[in-house]
Amino acid sequence: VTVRVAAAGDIHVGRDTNGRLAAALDGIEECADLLLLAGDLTQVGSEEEAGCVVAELAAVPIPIVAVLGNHDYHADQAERVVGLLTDAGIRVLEGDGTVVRVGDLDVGVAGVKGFCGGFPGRSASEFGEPIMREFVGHTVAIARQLERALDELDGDVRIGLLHYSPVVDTLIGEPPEIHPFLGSYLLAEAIDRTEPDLVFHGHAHRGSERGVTPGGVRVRNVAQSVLRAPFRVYELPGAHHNGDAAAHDALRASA
Amino acid sequence: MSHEDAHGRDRYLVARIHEALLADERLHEQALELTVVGVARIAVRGEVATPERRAAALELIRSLAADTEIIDDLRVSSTHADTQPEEL
Repeated sequence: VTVRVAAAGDIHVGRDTNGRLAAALDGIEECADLLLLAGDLTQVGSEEEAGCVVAELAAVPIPIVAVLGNHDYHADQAERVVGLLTDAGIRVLEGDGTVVRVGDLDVGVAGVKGFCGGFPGRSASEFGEPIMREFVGHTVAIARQLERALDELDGDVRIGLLHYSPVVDTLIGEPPEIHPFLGSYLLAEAIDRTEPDLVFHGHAHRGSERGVTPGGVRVRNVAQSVLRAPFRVYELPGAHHNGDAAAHDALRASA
Repeated sequence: MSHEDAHGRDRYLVARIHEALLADERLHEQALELTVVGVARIAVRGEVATPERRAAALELIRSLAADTEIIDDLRVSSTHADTQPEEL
């Protein structure tokens, strides 16, 4: 038994999108059971743009789960954006999780935006000026939220959904100088302590699709510009809590 | 102006273009790559969501770099879905 998960990030819907995304998603139910959106749904996170996102997704007949990205916070209307998306039936996660029933499987998704900080040996520390401690402290807090949400997440398939990257692998193609602004290893530590089956993120438009955490959890950068497609479909076996522990272990070992 | 001076000037120009692309309300674009590839020559690469944003980005860049050759490698996001799954 498998679940087909469609994922996309950085769709950046605006007033000029004019149904382009809706057309690209037409018929998605033929190839996917669930759609995950990895943040940067809008350009600046205004209410007006959130309305455009709702319009673009209105005809999608499968469940949609999303996190916000950095662009979605720029207009300081994130709460209203979440409200509009939620009213439209889109589950928006920030430090929590949800379980979607797909056929005979429970698919658990835990989501956070994530944040910056960098990767081992080249990372910022919670030290020094208040603004620096606040900057890194934001990442530390979000990583804790992610770990808690994943730890509490039940399901035959367990998925992490982020905007920022937990690993360097999926940043290959981006200038190394900006890696600290594209993600944090603290997110990977949270993932490795809670072992989801797969993690999605976006944000790194020039990065690479495939990566893996140090603990062996597969990571996929689904920014549309990386996929060069409106979304990609990933088929996962329902092997976590349905008694097929060997299949789950094999999935992780093959990463 | 020496070759080195011109190269340095273009690097500051690239920084100003990056800021302008992010601030422009048609774009708010953060992820385009601008590379100084010679004297008075800048390459622009990356992907935007719509043809309108592609045109707006090029118009903005050319307005800020009037005496600079712009090598246009921008593309618009594909609307063609690859429905073949990756089996995990």
